[in-house]
Amino acid sequence: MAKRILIVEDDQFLREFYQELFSDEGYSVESVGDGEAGLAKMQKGGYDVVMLDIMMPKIDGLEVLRELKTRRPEQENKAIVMLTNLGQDAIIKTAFELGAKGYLVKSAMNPDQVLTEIKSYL
Amino acid sequence: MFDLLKINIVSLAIITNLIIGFLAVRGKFSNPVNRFLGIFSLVFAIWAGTLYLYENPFIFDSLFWIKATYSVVVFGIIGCMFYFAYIFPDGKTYPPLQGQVGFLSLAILIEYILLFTDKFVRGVSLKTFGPATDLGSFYLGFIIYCSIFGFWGLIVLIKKYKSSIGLVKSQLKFLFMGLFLFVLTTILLDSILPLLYGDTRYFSISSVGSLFFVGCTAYSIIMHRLLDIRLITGRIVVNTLLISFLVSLMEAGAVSYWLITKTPIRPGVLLVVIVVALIIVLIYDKLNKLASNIASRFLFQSVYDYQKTLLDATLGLSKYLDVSKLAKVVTNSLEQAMRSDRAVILVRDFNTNYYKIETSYGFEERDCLNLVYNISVVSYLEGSGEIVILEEINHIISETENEVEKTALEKLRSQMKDSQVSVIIPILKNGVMISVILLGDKISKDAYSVQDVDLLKTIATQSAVAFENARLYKEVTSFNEELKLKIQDATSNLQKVNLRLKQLDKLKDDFVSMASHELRTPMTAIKSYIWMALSHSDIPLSLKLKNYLTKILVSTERLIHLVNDMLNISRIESGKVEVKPEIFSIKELVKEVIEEVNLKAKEKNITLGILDSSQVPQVFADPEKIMQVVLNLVGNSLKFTPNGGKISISFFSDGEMLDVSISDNGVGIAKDDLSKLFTKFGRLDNSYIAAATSGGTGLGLYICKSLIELSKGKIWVESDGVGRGATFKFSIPIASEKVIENVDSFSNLRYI
Repeated sequence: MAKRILIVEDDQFLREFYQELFSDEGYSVESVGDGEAGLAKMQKGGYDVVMLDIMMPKIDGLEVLRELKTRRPEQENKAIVMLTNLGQDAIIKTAFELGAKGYLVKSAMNPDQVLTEIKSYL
Repeated sequence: MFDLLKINIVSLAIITNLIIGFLAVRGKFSNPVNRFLGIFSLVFAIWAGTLYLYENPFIFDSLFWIKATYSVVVFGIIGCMFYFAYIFPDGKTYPPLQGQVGFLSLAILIEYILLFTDKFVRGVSLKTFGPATDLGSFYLGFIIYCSIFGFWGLIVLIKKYKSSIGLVKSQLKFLFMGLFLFVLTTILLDSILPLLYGDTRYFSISSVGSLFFVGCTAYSIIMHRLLDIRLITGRIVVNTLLISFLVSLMEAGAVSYWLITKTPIRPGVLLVVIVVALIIVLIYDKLNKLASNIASRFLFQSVYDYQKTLLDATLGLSKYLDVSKLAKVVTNSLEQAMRSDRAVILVRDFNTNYYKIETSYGFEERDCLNLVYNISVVSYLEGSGEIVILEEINHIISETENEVEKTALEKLRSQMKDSQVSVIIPILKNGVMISVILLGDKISKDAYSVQDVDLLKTIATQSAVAFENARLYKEVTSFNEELKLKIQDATSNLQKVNLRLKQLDKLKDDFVSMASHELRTPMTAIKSYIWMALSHSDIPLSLKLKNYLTKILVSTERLIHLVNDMLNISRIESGKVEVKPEIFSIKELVKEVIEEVNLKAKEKNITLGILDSSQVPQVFADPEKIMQVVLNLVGNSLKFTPNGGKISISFFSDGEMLDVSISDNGVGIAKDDLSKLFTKFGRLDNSYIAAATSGGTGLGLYICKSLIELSKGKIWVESDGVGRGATFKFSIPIASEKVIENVDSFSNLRYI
């Protein structure tokens, strides 16, 4: 069974990029473009890795995490990794408190670094 | 004749003693010194009285009175002397208990001998000059007794005199003088003369001696404030002299009458005379005042208490700072004192140069103003500064020889007549008229007396000061008001500006953070896809295309770097960077950095390591920020050191700060350029191509500097010149005991 990866990222190009990147590696990839859709998918759950962007319209990444805490997903999401452009400690700290396992700074990493990082959670 | 003289002296002695005694007692009865002096005086008075009665027996016979006299001496005079010597001047010391007991027992003994035996006084026989006492063998004992206690008291006083200074010493001097004279006269009249003449004819006037004592005491009271009864004494002395004079006068009159009419002299009448004289003197003052009050009321004379009026005016003038209130005070005083039918006070307003009528009654406004706006009048007043009284002008005009002055005075007179002004009181300050008081005639139609003019002058002078003060006060308060308004204005402006600045600051911060976030998203996309294009081997690329794409990738990386740096700087400068100091090992941190960049170093074959392995003390700073700095510096060194080069890191501690040095043998820095490095965009133009590929933005060192300074450290660079390598150094605080103890308080250091 292929590992399931969910990408929640509002920028279309980035979303498509990650989709392609992980599909090429052979994973089963789903992607959504806003927090609401992301929350719905995460509710169903069952993903091995969720890449959750922080800055999104409607509901942001932290909000999603909070919602998940109150309404537990049907199936567990094994690892949630926050995507961010800034490395602001306060936000990262809150994310970890809300259940995130890691974070990566999109603009700082090359695609191969991204792959390596995500693979470590699988 | 001799008798009369005797009577006079005796009565004088009695009265003066009683008065002094009364004063002393009335002054401060609680003070033992005063009390004793009171008793002393009373004793003297009684003594004088008994002596006189001995010569002119009344009710009892001479024997009784002479025994009474000696009793007074034994207990009263000697006793007082004895006690007074101890009590004076502090009122606290009393004779020693044995002394008191000795005195009392001896006194009682002598008294017994006096009263119930005839060893002391054998009897009284009548001689030509009056009664004479036969003294017994015990008289000597009496003398010895007096001498003992007399000298005792004297010695005590002498000791006090020797050990005292200043005021007390002078007072004691007078006391001694008085005592000496008293003792002298007494001895003379009571001991020596009797021995010479063989009789006691001069006994009765020996009371004159007390006068000396009392006189000296009184003098020292007046001069040296003895026993606190100075002030009243002045008046009393005057009264006493008056009484004595009056008494002598009246007695002389009575005696002359008796001599002429050949009727016998009756001492009772003389006594009455003395009492009457006393009463007259004491109440004369009050009678005078009463009479003049009645007269003035009856005759409408304007009698006023000059001093009271002046006092009231002075108090009133010094109480207020408001011109209209001051004017009222002046009007009241004038009304009280002068009783003019018209009065007005005009005060000049220096801003408009007009005169304002502050208070007035009886005057027509036009008349006052006419006078005051008459230039010649004003210039005359300012020139002379004197009070002008209409009745006197005629007199002055006839006396003046100067034609110019004459004309001026004539003008003044006609103006005063026109305006119905009788008195002009100008109030000048520095030769300029600031106010003027105009008065009409007195209601009683009396002329203004010299005393009136004096009072007016005094009031005018004080008013000048008061009005000037009022004016200054007004100036100061209005200045203050203006100032307050201006300050309020300025403050509200500043507040507006401050608010605006805060708003702009927030706008800037919001813009920067939003921009940096928004910018990074597309940049990440660009970078990612190009990377994919370059690294996916199944995408066919010509060499040229690969070249172009590589350049685009590098530029994108640089762009991302630049945006990061700008965001960092913006956050540091607006104080949004959180510095969270901890105690950590700088050596370990450097090792971490070395590990991270090791790959790059290997690529260029550069040796990178820590120089010595000795113990490095722990430091107190924010490890994240320090990591950033070290990464940046090491990264720089890597960029600017050619292949095969060497980068070494070393530490140095001076106990308080730890210096970290990153040395390379790379391209070095020219001396002129050293100062440019830590500024914004301080890149050196003569950097290698390596710099172009390094992605350096020129902001890195500036950020390092800001971060190190936020950590309370310093950063600097040393280089021997181009081609000779460079050493970047920074210092951070060592985690000292002081710091470790106060970790909690230090950890609260946030934005600086």
